[in-house]
Parts: sequence; structure tokens; C-alpha cells
Amino acid sequence: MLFNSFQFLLFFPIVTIIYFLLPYKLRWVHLLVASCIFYMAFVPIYILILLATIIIDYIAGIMIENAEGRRRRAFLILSLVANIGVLVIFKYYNFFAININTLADASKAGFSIPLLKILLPIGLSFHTFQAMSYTLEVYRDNQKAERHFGIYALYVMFYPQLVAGPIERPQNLLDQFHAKHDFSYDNCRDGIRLMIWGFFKKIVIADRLAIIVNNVYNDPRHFNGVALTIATLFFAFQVYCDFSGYTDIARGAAKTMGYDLMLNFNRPFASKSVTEIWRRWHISLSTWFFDYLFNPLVASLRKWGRWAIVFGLLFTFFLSGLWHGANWKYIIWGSVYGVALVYEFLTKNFRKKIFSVLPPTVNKTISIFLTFSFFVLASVFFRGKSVKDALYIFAHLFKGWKSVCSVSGIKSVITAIGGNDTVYGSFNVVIGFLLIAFLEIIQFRTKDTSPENIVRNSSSIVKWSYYYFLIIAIFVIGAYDNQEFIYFQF
Amino acid sequence: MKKKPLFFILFSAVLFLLVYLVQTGIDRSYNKNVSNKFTRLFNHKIDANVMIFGSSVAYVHFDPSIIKNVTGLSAYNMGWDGTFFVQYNCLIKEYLSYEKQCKYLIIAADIDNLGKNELITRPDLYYSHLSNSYVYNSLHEIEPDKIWKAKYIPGYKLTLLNKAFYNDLFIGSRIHKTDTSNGYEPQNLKWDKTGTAKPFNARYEERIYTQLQETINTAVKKGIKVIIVFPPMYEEGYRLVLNMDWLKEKYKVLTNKNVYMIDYTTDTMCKNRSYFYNYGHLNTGGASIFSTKIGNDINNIIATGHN
Amino acid sequence: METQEILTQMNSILSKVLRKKDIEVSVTTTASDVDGWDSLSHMIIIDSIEKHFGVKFKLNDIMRFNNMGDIVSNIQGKLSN
Repeated sequence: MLFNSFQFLLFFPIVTIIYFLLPYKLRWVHLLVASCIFYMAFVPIYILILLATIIIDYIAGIMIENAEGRRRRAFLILSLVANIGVLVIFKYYNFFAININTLADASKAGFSIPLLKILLPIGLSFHTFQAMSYTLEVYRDNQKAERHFGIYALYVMFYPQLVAGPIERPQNLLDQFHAKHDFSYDNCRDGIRLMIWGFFKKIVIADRLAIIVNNVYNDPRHFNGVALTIATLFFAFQVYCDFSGYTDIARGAAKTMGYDLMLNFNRPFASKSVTEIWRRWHISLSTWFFDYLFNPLVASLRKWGRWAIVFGLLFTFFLSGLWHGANWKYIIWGSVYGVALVYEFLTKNFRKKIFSVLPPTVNKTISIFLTFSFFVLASVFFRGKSVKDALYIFAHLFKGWKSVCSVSGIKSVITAIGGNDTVYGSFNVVIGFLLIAFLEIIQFRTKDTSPENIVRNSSSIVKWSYYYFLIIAIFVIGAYDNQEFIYFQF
Repeated sequence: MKKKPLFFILFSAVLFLLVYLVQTGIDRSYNKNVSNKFTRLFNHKIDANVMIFGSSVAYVHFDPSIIKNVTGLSAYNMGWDGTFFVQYNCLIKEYLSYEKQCKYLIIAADIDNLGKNELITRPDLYYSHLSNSYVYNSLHEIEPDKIWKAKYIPGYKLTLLNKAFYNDLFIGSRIHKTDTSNGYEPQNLKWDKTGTAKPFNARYEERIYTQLQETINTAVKKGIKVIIVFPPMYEEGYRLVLNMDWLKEKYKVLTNKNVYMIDYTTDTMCKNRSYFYNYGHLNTGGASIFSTKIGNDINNIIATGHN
Repeated sequence: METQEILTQMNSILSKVLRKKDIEVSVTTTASDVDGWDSLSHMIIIDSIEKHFGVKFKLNDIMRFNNMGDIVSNIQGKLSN
């Protein structure tokens, strides 16, 4: 089930109301059933995959806790192999097969591996990682194994974060399923407020920007550098609003029932370095990779000193890119970040010295600008339809800028990227810029709290007017041609 | 704490009201400012002696100015691309509810006229008229789920309003040049045979055929003469339609002293490719010739009482 | 070895690795309390501690270090054997 669907609009209030009407003992059953319905709205039969990995991980958790020495490791490996195995088969098999076939063709080896015709189960990359964090934490003695099968199943399947995160940790989530949640008006209000803001970001900002981005990125050779730059800039905000909007809806939905899911985004465009981006963007994923891949890897290679870290960064971000999609363009995107982080790591003191000659505000502004520019440029690889397209776009980003030094030049660019339709096209481009400005103003004014709280301390009239404005905007300015969440295919 | 749940109810109630007002406001604004043949039809502003309904085979074939020259009768072309009888039935029914009626009602029967599309064609042209029961019933036949929600759930329709709708709303009548040509849209195109050249059966649904009968009866009761027209088809394309004869028989059943059927698929112009731009559509030149022919046939009907 | 002695030596190790003066740690100090001790310099610091005290930490132990006190007790355990 998609969050931006009519079904969800019915699903959410019904599930939440029933949750509070039921006695505590039955609530996990209700949530589990609701989560199954939520998942099965996509491809019902895939629920078997979830069931299989849940059973394996449930058993593995208990066995790890009860066992000693080597046996503990064996069960951990069983869990990891099962989860990664499922991921490899459903998500990466075809990618590997295609590449092997290409090599086989080139070397005239005379064979080719058949491709599988399967649809990627939704949320696969998310719930497998969340499940693995469970067995890993049990193995590290940071978490007691969950004996209640239903609660463990709920940990994996909890519908708000089932399909696109945040990727939770057992320490945060499992205990919450054991606790008794009473109806709290504050929680409901906070949760719904968060959901409204999330829907606004996703349906109004992200999906509307997507119209322009899709026009340009589907046929980049048709457009000049100005158009490519605008579309890429729009994409940076689209992917932020899309993904963080989805996370807000997830966290908000959980909050109404009294559950707290971890923060996944924290004003990433205010990052002053590429390293900082990953402390503010998709936090649950970067901390997952950090805790379970980077740290252990670098620890075991620590005698290499700094080179352990260099290797760790490159390898971790290579895999992070691969996590995002079974395509070379994602691998390149991830690796580009790896290289940037290595650069920042190796030159840390040098850069500090150089930048310290500037006054702090200038320093901060330049850092933010450079970091944001890096983010925007890197996203060419993320959004480009192929590596070839991405390289073409890079080569042409700065061409054709002379033509916009006139009013007619600007008009023609806007018409072109809007889809050659004077009214609707210009409308979308102008609205796109206005929405970005609106978003940034709100983010800036809520630096110390969070964006959904912007009118928290205002009078009732302002509050109500603001929320009504957001909701009406979602209906009227929202774009609805079934735009899916970008991270949906992960 | 008892106040708080009331708060949610009050908030939601005001929200529903607001959404409903916005929706109604947009509809009113659309009906007032957009001047295309649909809004004019629903505002009862169309007045002609010969009313023409149908899909693109009406829209691009019948030239009202030529028909007027030949017959002396004013004509209006309500045809629209891609719409089949199940969809434009509401337009006819709405017209038939006028006080002042036309003399002749032409239904241009293209191949799939009695079939159904999966999707409504150009729903944006109808969204502001969903409170009209004819419109609702017609569209509900095609996409029941979506149309039901659009009518009864406040806000749902707002999410359907798309590029085409807003284009019309903001530019208004500027892009609809067809008001000067009384609904006719000539196609100055060169021959382009697109689509597969495999034989096929025309679509047909008994239920829609029944609706056609009912509408024709309503028209006749109001003293209107109905003319079912089979527009010309390029003969090569015509031969691909396997059940054409059967279809014509079904239409023939409907004829009587007030309901005529004129079949141009056997006319000599069907052999001449230079009149067509694809198998089923005449170009400007072809349409002019055809309009003259239909004008003459109308004159025949006036004079002799049959075609 | 006494806790305070270990801590004093920690101060000089951290000063050297992080290139900062006047670092003072206690058993409750965590990485976030020390300027420059972040996730990336963490392993380098661990490595330097190991080299200085002549010990080798197990991977599992490293993952469980929550504060300076954990590291100190681990070292004391190894040195007394």
C-alpha cells in the first residue's frame, strides 16, 4: 500500500482507532494483521518471504542467546545468509547475471545465464536490514532475544516503517511493543501534524518537482545546460521531500499510537561537509552501515592505520551505492561519495587551516554551498537513467547558459522543461521554485525544533489556517499521476 | 481531556467544509470562465437545427458551415475524439432536456461506437459537471470507482484535476478555436497509416445498444428526426473490420419513419485515398466533400421523407 | 596498573593522535566529550592505545567500549594476566 493513496486514507484512521479500542493484550495481533494487509496490498504472495526470514531470525536470535562460542557465530551467519540471500536473489540476481553475460559475450565464452522475471518485493532492502540488526545486536549482547514470536514478527513488519524505513534497532523498537500505550491527545496531535507535513512534502513538493525532473531526465539530449541544471537542482529537493516526507508520514503514523521511530533526516542541506551529509541524510541507513560494516571492518584492519579507514570508507560506500539499486549508476554514485569522504578524511587538518583564515560566517556559508553543490552534482548519477545519460548530463550542465541572458531565453527554457506547454509548463517551474523557497524558509525558521512545529507556538487562528492551507494545498497543488516514492523500489 | 476528541471532530468538520467550498469554487469558476463547447452545451447556450454527436468521426468530418450552405439549416458539431456512445450519451441527453430542440440529430457511428473504453477520454472536460446526473451515469459506466469517489468524497475530485483542466481554467476560451467553426475541427493532415493491419471485430455491448435505443426514442418523442450516419472509411481499412455487416444490421433495426440510417462506407469516395489521412478519418478536403454529401442527403430527407 | 596512571597515559596518547593539547579524560569520558575523537579517528585511537600498552583488543570488546572506563578495565584485565 502506498501512503499517498485513497486506501491509506481509510486504512490509517481505522487501524489507529481500533488500536485504542482493543485491550492491550490483543494490540500486537491487530497491528500484525494490519501490517500484513498493508504489505499484501502490493504482491500478496511475497508475504511468504517475510514469514520465512522472520521464522529464521526468530529462531536464530534465541539460539544465539542460548549458545556459546562458535555456535553463536554459526547462528548469526545463518541469519545473515538468509537475509542477504533473499536480497541477492530478488534484487541482485539479474544485475549479476546481466554483467556476467556481457563478459561472457565479450570473451566469447559461449554461455549465458538465464534472467529471472520477478518483481522486487517492496521494502525488501529495509526489512532485511532491520532484521539483521536484530540478530547482530543479540550476538553483541546488546539485546535480549525476543521470545514472543508475534512481537518479533511485528518488529519486522510494523507497517509505518515496513516499506521505506527508518531502519530501526531492536533496542528502540522491541521494548515499545511490550509497553502499554494509552491514548494521548498530544501524541495524536503531534503524529497527525507530522503526517500532514510529510504529505505536503511528498505530494505537493516532491511530486510536482518530479514533473519537471522527469521531462528533462527522460530525454536529456533534448535540453540545454540551463534546463539540465534546473532539473538536477529540482531533483535534489524532490528526493529530499520524497524520502523525508515518507519518513515523516511513517513517524507520524507511529506516533499517533504512541510509538517513537528514530529520526531519519535532520536538515541535510545544512551540512558543512560531505561527511556531515551522512549524519543528516538517511541516518538510519548510514548508522546501520557504520555500526555493522564500517566499524568492524576498520577495527579488524586497524593495523593499516589511516588506510584502514580509507579502505573502509570506499568499501562501505560502494556497498551503500549497491544497496540503493542493482545498477552501475548507483554503484558509481555511492563510490563518488566514498571518494569524497576519503578526501575529506585525509585533508581534514589541512582544510581546517585553510578555512580558518576566513571569518566564521563566510566559512560556514562557503562550506554549505560547496557541500550542497556536491550533493546536487552527485545526484545526476542517482537520477540519470543510465551511466551514459549521467555522463552526458555532466558534460552539458554548463553549456548554453548564454542563452538565458535574455527574457525570451528564460521563457524558452521554462517552456521547454515544463513540457512545451506554455501555461502548465511555466506554472510548474515557477511553483517549483516557490515551493523550494517555502520549504527552505520553514526549515530555517525551525532550526532548533523541527519543521512540522513551525506554528506550534502561534495563536489558534494562525495554527488552524496554516494546517488548512497545507491540507488544501495537498488537494489542489498536489500532483497525482501516481508518482511512486523514489525509495519504493528499494 | 474530554474537550480534546471534540477538537478533532470540529477540525475535521471545518476541513470538510473548506474542501467542499474550494471544490465548488473551482467548478463555478470553470463553468463561468471556460468557454468550450461542453460548458456551452451544459449552460444551454447551443442552438442549431442540426445537432451532430459522435467521436472523432463526427468532430473532424462534419463542417457545419457547408451543411448550412447546402441545406439552409444551422448546424453544430458536438463530436469529440475518442469518445464512444456510452460517454457522449450524456451530451445528447443533456441536449434533449433543452426546451428548444433541433430538427435533426445526427449520430456519427464509428466502428467502436457501441463499445467501451477502459478509461474516460478527457475526463477534465466533465469534472465540473458531475452533479449532472446524465454526466455522472455516463462516466460511471466507464470508470465507476473513480467517478463515484469524485462525486461523493469531498476533495477527491481536486486530486484528479490535471494539466488539461487547469490549462482550460487559466487560459479560458483562448485555446478553443472551435467556437468559430461551430465545433468542427478540420484535419489538414497527410496520409499516415498507423496501427496494425490485422483484421479485428468492432467492439459491442448489448447494454450500450439498449441505451442507444432509449436515447433515440427520447429524441423521437420530442419530434426530432434522428439520422444514424456511417462516415466514410478508406476501403482497405473497412475490409479489416470483420463484423461490420452484423453491426449495420443492429443499427438498421432501429430505423423507422423518424430514424434514418445513411451508410457512406459504400460511397465511391471510400476508394480514394487522397481524401483520408488514415483508415477511418477524412482530411480537410475529404471532410468538405463529405459535408456536402450529407447536406444533400438531409435535403433529400426533408423533401421525400426518406434517404 | 592503577587507573589514574592509565588515564594519564591516555591523555598523552590522545594528545598525540588528535594533535591537541590539554586533553584530560576520566573513566566516564566518552568519544563525544573529546574534540576530534569521532567515528573516523576512533580506530586510529584504539590502535595507538593497543600499541602503547602492548595489548590486543578483541573485535567484540571494541564494539562494546562505551566509555574510557571500559577501555581502562579491559587493559587492566590484560596487564594483570
